[in-house]
Amino acid sequence: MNTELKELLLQGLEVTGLGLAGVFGALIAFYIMIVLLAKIPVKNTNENENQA
Amino acid sequence: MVFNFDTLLETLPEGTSLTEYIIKMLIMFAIGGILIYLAIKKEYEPALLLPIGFGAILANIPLTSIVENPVTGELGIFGALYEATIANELFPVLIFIAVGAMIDFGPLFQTPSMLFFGAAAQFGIFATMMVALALGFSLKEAGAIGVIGAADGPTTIYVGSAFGLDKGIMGPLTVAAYSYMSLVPIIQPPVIKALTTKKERQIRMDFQQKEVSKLTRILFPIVVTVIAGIIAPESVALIGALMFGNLIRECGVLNRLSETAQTTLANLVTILLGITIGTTMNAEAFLTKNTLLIMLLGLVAFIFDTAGGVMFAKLLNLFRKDKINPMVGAAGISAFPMSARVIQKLAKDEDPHNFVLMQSVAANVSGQLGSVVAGSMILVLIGKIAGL
Repeated sequence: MNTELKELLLQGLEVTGLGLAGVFGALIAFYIMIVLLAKIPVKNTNENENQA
Repeated sequence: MVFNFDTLLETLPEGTSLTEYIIKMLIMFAIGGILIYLAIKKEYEPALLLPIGFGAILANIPLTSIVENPVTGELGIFGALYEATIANELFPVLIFIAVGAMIDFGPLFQTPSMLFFGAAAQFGIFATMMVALALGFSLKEAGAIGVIGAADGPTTIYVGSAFGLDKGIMGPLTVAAYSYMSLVPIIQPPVIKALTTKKERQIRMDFQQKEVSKLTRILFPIVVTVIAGIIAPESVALIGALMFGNLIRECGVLNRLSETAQTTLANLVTILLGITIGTTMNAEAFLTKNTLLIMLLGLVAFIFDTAGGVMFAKLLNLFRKDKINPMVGAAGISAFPMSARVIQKLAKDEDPHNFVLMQSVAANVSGQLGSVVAGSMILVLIGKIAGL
């Protein structure tokens, strides 16, 4: 394997590692956000329950 | 310009004989015809494959100046349109506004853990990028080729344009991205079946329908844009457009705009995007070894992405009490809603009473988010290495 290709593949590995970490990192942040946002109560339902 | 045989001979590409030119032209007409056939007869992404096919025929008519005047080199109407709408990434962003207006993220709030499949199914992007590098493509080209596997046409075009790839790469890249998107029902099932047992495919998953508040639905697109923007600033154009479209949909006071984004905007951009991309398929640029490699690598990327999602689900099952049907992982690609439907059909084939559609839809919309973030990571990281 020539040096140029080796260097290119190493760069590719760097992009792969950091890229996958970035994607998982972003989606973990989205997950936390969704879990928190899902806790916001549904207004209409609560009102209906109170009326009942 | 009136057809003139002498002008044709003068403008033949260097090193190309007239016979060779005519054969290449006929091959391109045939490719255009096949794309139109697939669009009409097989209904594979007809809204895109038909304009692309017709564009390919237009671009290869001898002495046509629709892309570029063969004598003066002046830009023609579609050449100008390409520069004004694709080279500057405008169309992919507009398409994302339409896509955002079409997506209901509701199922994701019911099963937020499905979000991780939207990340796992991006594995193929990076794996394919490595294969493309080994085959001699540059880092930028390899990155853009990998994105085909995300099953996300606009992101593929966006990344390719942002890297300034030439039309010889952009044409096959787009054709591969959209062709394989339409072939999800053919590509995914054999990969899923090869990686799972019948017992795994029969796993049932609980789903509890919960109501999602309006405030949650409104805050979601805003907060996602901010988080994604902080993690990968390059993603703001795409994810911002996607989430803007979703905000229009969910705010409840812009129904007319939401409908326009979902129909008129989507249709207009699709028509112009397809035919403009089609006209980049000039025989000289398209009939190369690279085109064949890009088409093959696109298929590899799709297979790797599907496998990545399935294998991740199987990995999670090692630690979970409530098992996940591993097929749901394959819906983590962003071909929405086709992939979710394919998974539900497969589940039903194995067990007529199994219903995994909602989980698959949640994984599928997560794939939409994941592919945009992955595309942005490719832009940021490769851009940094290439000094963009």
